[in-house]
Amino acid sequence: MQLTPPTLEQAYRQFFPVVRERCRRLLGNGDEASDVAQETFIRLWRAGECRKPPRDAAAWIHRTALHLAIDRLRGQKARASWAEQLGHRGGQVLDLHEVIHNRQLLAFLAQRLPADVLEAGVLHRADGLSQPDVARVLGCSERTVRRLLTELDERLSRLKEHAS
Amino acid sequence: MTHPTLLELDALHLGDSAGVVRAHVEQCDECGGYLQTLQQPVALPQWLDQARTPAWRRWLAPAVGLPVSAALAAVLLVVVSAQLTMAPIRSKGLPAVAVYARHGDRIELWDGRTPFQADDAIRFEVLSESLGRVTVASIEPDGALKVLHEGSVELGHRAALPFSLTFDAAPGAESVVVVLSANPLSPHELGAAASRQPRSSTLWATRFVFPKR
Repeated sequence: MQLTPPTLEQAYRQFFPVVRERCRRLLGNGDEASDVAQETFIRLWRAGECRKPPRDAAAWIHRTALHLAIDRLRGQKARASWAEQLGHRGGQVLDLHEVIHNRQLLAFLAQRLPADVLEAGVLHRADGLSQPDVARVLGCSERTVRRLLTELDERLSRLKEHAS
Repeated sequence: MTHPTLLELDALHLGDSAGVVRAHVEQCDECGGYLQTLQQPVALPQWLDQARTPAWRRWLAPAVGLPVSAALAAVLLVVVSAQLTMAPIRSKGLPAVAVYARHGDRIELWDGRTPFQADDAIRFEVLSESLGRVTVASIEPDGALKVLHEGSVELGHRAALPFSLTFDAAPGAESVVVVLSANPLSPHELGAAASRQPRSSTLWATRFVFPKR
């Protein structure tokens, strides 16, 4: 006896809440999050990820929603200056936990950092994933993850220096 | 307390059986609350209404056409037919499970006897008024349980579970256990429920044996 793949409606009922919450966390409760959630789900369905084991499907959702969210934010006009985003923090370390609660800050970084660097940073520093988990979500090696995180720190340092 | 990551919680919601994460969720209001958020019924968007596969509609067509009382009676009939040990009348508050069988192009509520052949398929529909978690597992020839589905059900509503099972050509009957519970089950709890088939207000299980031609 074999499990038959879910229908579109079944998949939506099961997977969309995960997609929706992921996008809300990245983009808040507005239309933007809703649009990215729908786009993520459609890609999930088309890619056949609903048939994958739960861990793989969840990792795919996390990666794709993050990628689409960053992509969306990178395409927007920069609304905030360096000083507005970083200046008032003085010499404090930029906390990526804040990124997840501050859509403007995520947009600011999305427009200044390479997507893969920011994705690794959000997954590791904001979502709290271990480096092996980040590697699994991003589909790369742990060595690549370490390189991306090092590059993230260097770029954030330069941003802070520039702002101060 | 170290919480699981959201990735782990999402995987658990999608059916991952990580015991450590599950054990944590049972004790942690914050993580349990997040899972409850994921388990809320989701409204279907308009585009999905237009695009969705009509297969399951066809599956349900025979039941949809029935009056509610007749449909419910059919649900009970299937359960009673399939389970000799079950009380002939469903006590108020206890769950019921219906099996829809697809034999070729024909869809019907399974009568508890008709054998299946390769490529026939079944789906489950559950009605639960107080137990919000459902676990479906196949019972392998060696007695081991293989979890096929784990998720939430909307209380007080008939709900088709989001998967179907297709029969293969291998000889021998297939056994499946459906367990309704208040909380996620550990493998040990699932095993105990499958063998004892409890019928209480906190744990309810029923076992189906599907004969094959």
